[in-house]
Amino acid sequence: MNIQYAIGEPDNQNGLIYKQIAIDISDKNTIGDFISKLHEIIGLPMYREVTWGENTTKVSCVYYIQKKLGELSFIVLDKSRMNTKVSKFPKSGPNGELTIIINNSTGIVN
Amino acid sequence: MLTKLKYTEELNVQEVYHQLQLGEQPILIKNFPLDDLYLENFVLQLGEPVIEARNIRGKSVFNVEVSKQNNFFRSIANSNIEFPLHTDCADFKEIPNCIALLCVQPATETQGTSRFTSLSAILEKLSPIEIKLLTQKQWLFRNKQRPILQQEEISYSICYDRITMETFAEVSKEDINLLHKLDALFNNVSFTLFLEQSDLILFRNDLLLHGRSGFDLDSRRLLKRVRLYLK
Repeated sequence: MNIQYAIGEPDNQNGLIYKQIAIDISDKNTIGDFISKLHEIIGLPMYREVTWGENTTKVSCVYYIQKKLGELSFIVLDKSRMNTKVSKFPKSGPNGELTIIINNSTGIVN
Repeated sequence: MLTKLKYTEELNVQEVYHQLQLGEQPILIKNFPLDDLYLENFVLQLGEPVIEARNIRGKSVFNVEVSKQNNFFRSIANSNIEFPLHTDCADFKEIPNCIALLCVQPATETQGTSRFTSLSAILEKLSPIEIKLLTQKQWLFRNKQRPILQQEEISYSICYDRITMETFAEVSKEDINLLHKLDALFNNVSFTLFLEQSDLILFRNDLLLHGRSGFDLDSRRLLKRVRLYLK
């Protein structure tokens, strides 16, 4: 399936660079499987290591699926949605691609 | 240390606004309605809220609760880990100068306790040389460089979040020691407050640091958070 993705902040669209790629996965798979595959393909860790003093913990990326082309409205993926089939999510890209933003920077602290 | 008010239909919002403008202490409003829309509308009377895609309905309310994704916490705020004293949004271009936290579900009484320290209490403990150092030395807050203390005419504001400072930049051992010293100083002049259900606490993000103690991973602790730019 064809998708477009960007890494960054959904609230700062100017800073986002979308890339179109094809992923070898059926839209009958779950969005959780899709996320795992996407990370594998683009080589981005699913977490960021957060450090202070002697403390370290891993904080997950957060995912936003755009609802409509040209609109700043998103489905924020959470644990409860990870078993939902990819086919259930909107495909808002210019050519009907699923559009996903992966945030691994802002908001990882608070 | 704390301005206490009780929520009623006649609550004077202008008084809340005035106290926030003074900025020296948090304002605790007891018996606040546990309703997101009510909170959103109340905050709108005080200033411009920060709207983020990750908030509820993409608006201004964010759930501060334990939440995981990919088996990792979604943020430190969404963990059960002790959160040291900090400024929210320290990496924003323009930092919101006010925070509202509504307690929907506290942790057990000895856990998840809020902690605050005021900039005025911090300044009393710093020497003029230390103040000068903190106003001059630049730190990287993700992609924004700024000092911990900023002088604005005759007053100061504070920006401090060592998790952001240490996560997104290489911090030298010498600077980590400085952060340890600052943490100790901030903690020494801090006070704690256990938020109860329906407590709404409002405080200045540029004049107070806030944090919380850790709590059990299976706790149902839930705070509703709105950040705003005071009018």
